[in-house]
Amino acid sequence: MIGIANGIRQHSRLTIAAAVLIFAAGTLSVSGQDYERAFISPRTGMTHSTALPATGELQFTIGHRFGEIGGGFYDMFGLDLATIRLGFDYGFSDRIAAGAGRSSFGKSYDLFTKVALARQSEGGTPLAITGIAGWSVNTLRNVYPAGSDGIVDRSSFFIQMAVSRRQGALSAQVSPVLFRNNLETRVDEDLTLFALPVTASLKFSRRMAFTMQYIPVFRQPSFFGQNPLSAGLDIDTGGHQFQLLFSNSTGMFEKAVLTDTGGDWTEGKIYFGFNLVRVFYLK
Amino acid sequence: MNRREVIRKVAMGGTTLVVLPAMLASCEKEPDGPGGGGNDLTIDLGLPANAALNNTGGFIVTNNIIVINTGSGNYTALSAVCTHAGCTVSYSAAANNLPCACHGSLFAIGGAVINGPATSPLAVYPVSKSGSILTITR
Repeated sequence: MIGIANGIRQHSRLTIAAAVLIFAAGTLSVSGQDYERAFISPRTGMTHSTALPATGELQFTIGHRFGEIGGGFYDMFGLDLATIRLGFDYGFSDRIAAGAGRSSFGKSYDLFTKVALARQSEGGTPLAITGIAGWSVNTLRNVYPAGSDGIVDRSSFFIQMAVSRRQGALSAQVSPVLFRNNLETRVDEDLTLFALPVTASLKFSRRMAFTMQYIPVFRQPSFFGQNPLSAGLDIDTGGHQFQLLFSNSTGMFEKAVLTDTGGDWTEGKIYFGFNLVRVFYLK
Repeated sequence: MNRREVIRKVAMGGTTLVVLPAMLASCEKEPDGPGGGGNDLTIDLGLPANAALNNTGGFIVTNNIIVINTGSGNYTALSAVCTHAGCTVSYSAAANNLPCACHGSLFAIGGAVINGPATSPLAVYPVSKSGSILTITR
């Protein structure tokens, strides 16, 4: 147990140090030129995108993931079994954003920061690169064993580097992520995973895009379900963004997506969900 | 539509058609892991990966089944997949129940729902022991 505790402290320090580095990098000089946005919303599919809210922009996200579509009429094809997440993303500058959320998944709270390290622009950088670091805590009762149910045990961390490019109507993103769960109750020890989300988006009208995302997860534990896969439609109405998606995951933050994807497309165990993003301008 | 646009759209469509089936195929369910034969799952208690099962209250999750040492040489096997949203449940030896860390569902050791949001019980599988080998019949 002492070894695990030391490991937890060491990894937590590393994660915090990485978050500070990413944040500091974002304070570097800002290019004033126009840039290409591969994605409009700060989230795409089940993960963060390279996009950030503009300076002074507050984005309020209402996310729902419903129950299994195959549940039939009794559960109204999953509508009776909603998991929700309410979240806020705020742009402190055009390079630094932070956000927080609360999800009914694990009665969890999550915090994150995003820093635009590079932006795609014509004649400039060919790729957009955004560093992301985040934390979440599961606050469910009666899940963690007595004596190991403090905030440190319940915490998860991630660091991620999202790299995207837009080429005409097609946008693509690769966003490797290192994830750590301090105490994973299903294996009774800490858990560290690496995943490589791959996202492709095809804009087929001025305001609509079809998006697919696949997340291969490496170092899968014994209880692991399926690699997350989603397909959806992004609609930008100006003041609002709608993201409709079908996925084998009901997760809306990293812990939920990377360790608790239990659906299976090949067995028809898929879930419908949406994100509704409302934009407020505070400056 | 000029020639360049036609080429671009054909390339996009072709890429989608090639990539989509490949991605779906990669999600195909894998066959039973080591020890799985037909509908039976065998677990060797002598293997380090299964060492937790040598202690009362110890458990492992494998092939979507949670196997628990309930004491006095007895073992219980249940579906590890929460009937609410498909998450994997764990086992609390102190409370002798199975909580789900996703939405808080709680199941009794016999599989029954103690607390929702799950409404259906976990499936229970017969377990037999021969020497150091557990056989779970699915």
